[in-house]
Amino acid sequence: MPVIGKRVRRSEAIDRVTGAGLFTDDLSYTGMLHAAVVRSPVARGRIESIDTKSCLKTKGVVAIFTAKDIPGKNCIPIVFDDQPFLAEKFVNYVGEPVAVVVAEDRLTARAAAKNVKLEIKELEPLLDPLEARNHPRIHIYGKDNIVKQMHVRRGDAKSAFRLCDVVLVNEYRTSFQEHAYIEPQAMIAVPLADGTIEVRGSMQCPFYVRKGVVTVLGLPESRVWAIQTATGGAFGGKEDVPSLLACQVALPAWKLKRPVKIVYDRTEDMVATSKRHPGWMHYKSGTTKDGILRAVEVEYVIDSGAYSTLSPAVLFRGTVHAVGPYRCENVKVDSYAVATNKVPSGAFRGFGSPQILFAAESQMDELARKLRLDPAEFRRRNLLKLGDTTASGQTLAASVGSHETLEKVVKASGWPAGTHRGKGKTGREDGVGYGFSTIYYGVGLGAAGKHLARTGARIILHDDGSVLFSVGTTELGQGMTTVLSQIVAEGLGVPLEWVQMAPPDTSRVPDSGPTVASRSTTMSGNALMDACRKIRDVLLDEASEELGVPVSEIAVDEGIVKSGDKSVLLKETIKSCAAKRRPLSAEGWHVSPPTSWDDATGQGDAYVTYAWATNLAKVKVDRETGEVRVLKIWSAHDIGKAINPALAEGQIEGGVVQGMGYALTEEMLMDSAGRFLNTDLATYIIPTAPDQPEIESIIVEHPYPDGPFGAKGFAEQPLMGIAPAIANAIFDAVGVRIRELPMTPERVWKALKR
Amino acid sequence: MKLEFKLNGKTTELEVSGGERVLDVLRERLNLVGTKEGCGKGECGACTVLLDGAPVCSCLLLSSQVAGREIVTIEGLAAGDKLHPVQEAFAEVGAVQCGFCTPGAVLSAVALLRRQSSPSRAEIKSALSGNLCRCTGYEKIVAAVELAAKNMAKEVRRPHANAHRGGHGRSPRRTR
Amino acid sequence: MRTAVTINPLTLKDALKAKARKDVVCVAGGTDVLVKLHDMIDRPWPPLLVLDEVDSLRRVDPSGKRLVLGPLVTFAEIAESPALRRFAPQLVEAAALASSPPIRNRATIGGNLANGSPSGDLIPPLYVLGATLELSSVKGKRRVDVQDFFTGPGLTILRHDELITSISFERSGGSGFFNRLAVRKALAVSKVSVAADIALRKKTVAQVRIALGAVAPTVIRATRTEEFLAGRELSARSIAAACDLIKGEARPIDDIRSTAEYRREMVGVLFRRGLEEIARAV
Repeated sequence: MPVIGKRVRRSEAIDRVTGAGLFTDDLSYTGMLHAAVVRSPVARGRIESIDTKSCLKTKGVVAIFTAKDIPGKNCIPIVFDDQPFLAEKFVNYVGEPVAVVVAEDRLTARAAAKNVKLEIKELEPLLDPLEARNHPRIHIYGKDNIVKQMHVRRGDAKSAFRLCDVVLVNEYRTSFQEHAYIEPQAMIAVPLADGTIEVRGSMQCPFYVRKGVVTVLGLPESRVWAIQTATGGAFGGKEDVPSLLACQVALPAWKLKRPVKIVYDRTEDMVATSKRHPGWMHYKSGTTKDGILRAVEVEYVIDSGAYSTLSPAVLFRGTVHAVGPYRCENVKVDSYAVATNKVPSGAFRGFGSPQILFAAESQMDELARKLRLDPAEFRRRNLLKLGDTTASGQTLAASVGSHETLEKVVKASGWPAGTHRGKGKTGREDGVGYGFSTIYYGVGLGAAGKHLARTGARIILHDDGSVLFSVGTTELGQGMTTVLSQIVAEGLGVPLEWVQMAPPDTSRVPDSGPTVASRSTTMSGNALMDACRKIRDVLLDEASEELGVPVSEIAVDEGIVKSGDKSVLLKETIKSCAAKRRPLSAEGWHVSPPTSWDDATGQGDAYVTYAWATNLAKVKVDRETGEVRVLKIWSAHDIGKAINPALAEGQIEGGVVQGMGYALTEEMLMDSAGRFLNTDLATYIIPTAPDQPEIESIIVEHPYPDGPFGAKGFAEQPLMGIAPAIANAIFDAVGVRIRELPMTPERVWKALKR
Repeated sequence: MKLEFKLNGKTTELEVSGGERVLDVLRERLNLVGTKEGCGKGECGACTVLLDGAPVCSCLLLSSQVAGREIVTIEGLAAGDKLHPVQEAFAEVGAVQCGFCTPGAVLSAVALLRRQSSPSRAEIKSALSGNLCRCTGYEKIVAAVELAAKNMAKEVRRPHANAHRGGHGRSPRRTR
Repeated sequence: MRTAVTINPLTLKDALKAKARKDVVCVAGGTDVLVKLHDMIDRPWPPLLVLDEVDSLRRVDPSGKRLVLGPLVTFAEIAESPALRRFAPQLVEAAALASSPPIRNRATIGGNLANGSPSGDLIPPLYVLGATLELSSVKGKRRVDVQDFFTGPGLTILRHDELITSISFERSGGSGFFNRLAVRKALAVSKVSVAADIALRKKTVAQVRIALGAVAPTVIRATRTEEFLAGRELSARSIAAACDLIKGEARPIDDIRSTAEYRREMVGVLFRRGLEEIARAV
């Protein structure tokens, strides 16, 4: 295979290093106006009035829109339909959009929006999900403020605990994590002459954006074209939120018949857009003295914020992964997404699993110590392997590289075998410790998203050999364009340089679902392979006529058609197809293999396949200041097949550092009125270059039979296991267990003092 | 006021009020959109440009403050089709993911390599410490700068933008 | 595009005349002022007095008994000055650690002072080097001790019509340190900082000045600890006692960066580490 598995350069690299790549704010249209959002200053209240008249007196202000101006439905549909586009009667979080102001320039729009007077009767907000759940008096979501709940009942955990030799019960907490993509959210709506609206912007999910605009404007789907521009980082933060921005520009654009742009100010972006759900976990796990995990009982609560948005799906993923990648016959999980008066939490790399895996892998480490077992060996005894059944009842029929990731990390790090580690007994430098985590990740949308699990693609092989392909998934920096180009090149048998991707555009391919859940390589890749096969069939048929040999004896690679010692340039074959008017373009379609889930038992084939990973963190803890310096992370991932190893490494390296931020420094603090306190990049602390640890990334390949060339997605996984690996390393270093993220110096210091 | 300054090697004249952000002048008056706004407060480095060879945040630089001085933006690095070795190295090594931080990081690296031809990893990370990246974990960015340093040592380069050695030195000021 | 009227004097005289206007805001590096102005979106920016072209405010003069810096000297220039590294190492250390390269290339010592934050990293070193500030206006000049310059978080005695026109300070007494704790290795405001300047005679402290940053409404001198150490020999015992004292001199608060309890303890840790390193070097 000439192209698959090669470290080819990213398609967009030249554009980006020369500054030629155009992001949303780099685009301008004639007559373009600028929008800004009027936002609720309070966490909960009843809207008494919105002064829409005064701002119109300001020079440069063109219009203001509120809920009553919505021609369609005042709703951004996601999983459920409870999120309004603009708050109408009530506001439910600080920063909730109430109106949109449009002006001739951005500054005027923002200033006018800031000055719009809102009269809001403040109501008591709910800010703690544990208090909000079943609150006797205050109802902000249904009768119990529970957006969704799930249950797993496998075996008999209660009885099994009685037979355990070691049982540990602990509470864990995790904070908001803000995506902090370097490009703030941005969107432009351009009304076309025939009543179509084009929406261009920074987004992961053009089809979600289209759905939002279609709902709010009451237009047919064919009349809204959502087109992704270069997007400066997303990580889940641009999954559902862009639908809101799209409507914030599409409504004015449609009414005023002029292009409208919006760009969020960084502080606005940090206050008012989605974040990782804060989590609370009550985790009980038990083993027998042979080191076998026998029972797990978990209560998992995630803070959904004011509207459900993606919480049902986040809860699903967290629930499925609650036990970690281990065999366990007796599992009881009760998970809840609870509404509070905060910005709706949403998607963020890992999607409900980093929180629960922080708890699960901390427990595993603590169990290992109580058992006086080496943490690697303890995992070895329990780690799922091919043919095993997961805690959610799925038998793993293929592509289980879990143990290889563990063994590769053990080998690469020189992990001492057979030793159990006590507190600082080992003669290492004081304050240095090592911690493991093993995790897994269900690839794709899983049973919770099965209705979305379809993808379309389109390939046009032009008469001159150049190839243009379209998919519905988006390039976010992860390298999807390049990986898919490699797949198309391989699939058609053309050189990579002939292949180009068109910008994702909902008018080019049918609804292909969102770019989330690490699904693009498998879903778009397979849809493209489907289209490639159709085109290839035509080419082979033509070549077979030309060469006078059966199709089965012909190979096409890198633009050369070969059979035995006969060969012909593919360009010639293409020309001859064109001359005969044979079609050289095709549509592709892929739907996921079936998944299943039983709501009562929490058992089923939750995901089509899993990626697997092992992380080992080496840290140095300053005992006096509590500062944790991550010296090195070994991170091994089974990704099925690395279509482009350099890009895969990039995902590992980026995810590791983002995971380190989640573990040590990233949190959003809130006051008692529900307002965030740290709302810029000076006070929300992500790692800088000097903070970076040494990273050794290891790629393991256990092919996934239904993936293109065996590939399965994995790019969320590198973040997911870093926090527990660091927590475990801190314990190894200085003997304290931190069960709250982030593990700031203040928290570590406090624990050391005790 | 009439602003005269050197931009990517060319003398440039503009009528300004003096208090515009250089970031806005570049992006909106001069159509140079390679310099990005990530935060507007000097906290992310996406708006980095070289001022007399020294990296600065153009979101915190006023137009009147560049009178008689020299600005180099990302658009000023390549000589026609020939990329600057730092740009080439970023592309080669895979140091570009979403690319939004890339112009700023490239310029910080260019400034570093003009002062130090063989920086250590720690020195590279320090020079890049004002350029936040959320995608790459910095690993391949550092590797790219190391590769560029190696490649630049092999060739003698004449920067086409008239920047001199010495990071923050001041060029002789024009009198008005 | 947002903009403002700017006043760009070429001479100090013109700068002081402009500063005498009621409505004007002074900008040098812009790394504090323009950050604050970023959030002022609902009214026009005030006229900005841009000091860049007043070259006389840029001098670096390490030749005399007191070193003299103009207010426009940048953090980067301080960090890279061999003379300052020799005679005012604490100041150089603070300048080199602050923020990030693009900020250091523009941020000025005058701005750091005028901004008046108790976390301003150049301030504790200036305290321990006995700095005085020259403040000038159209009405004349005055000199103030740097310790008298600050009245509260973000508050100074600088009158509206005044500019800081010169900063002078002593050469280091020979030993000292600047230690800080921050949440990450760059782009981070100090949670706690400790600066000290010590003249040693063998292991005995002949003279000592200590300043604490980010643990009180302004940077403060740790005078009780200074009194204790003056004339004393640096030993494990005296260091431990000094640390207990210094923790009591800090008056920290809880804020989004850290807690009072932690800051107070860390003052002791940073101070002790600084003294121990000095003691080892003797």
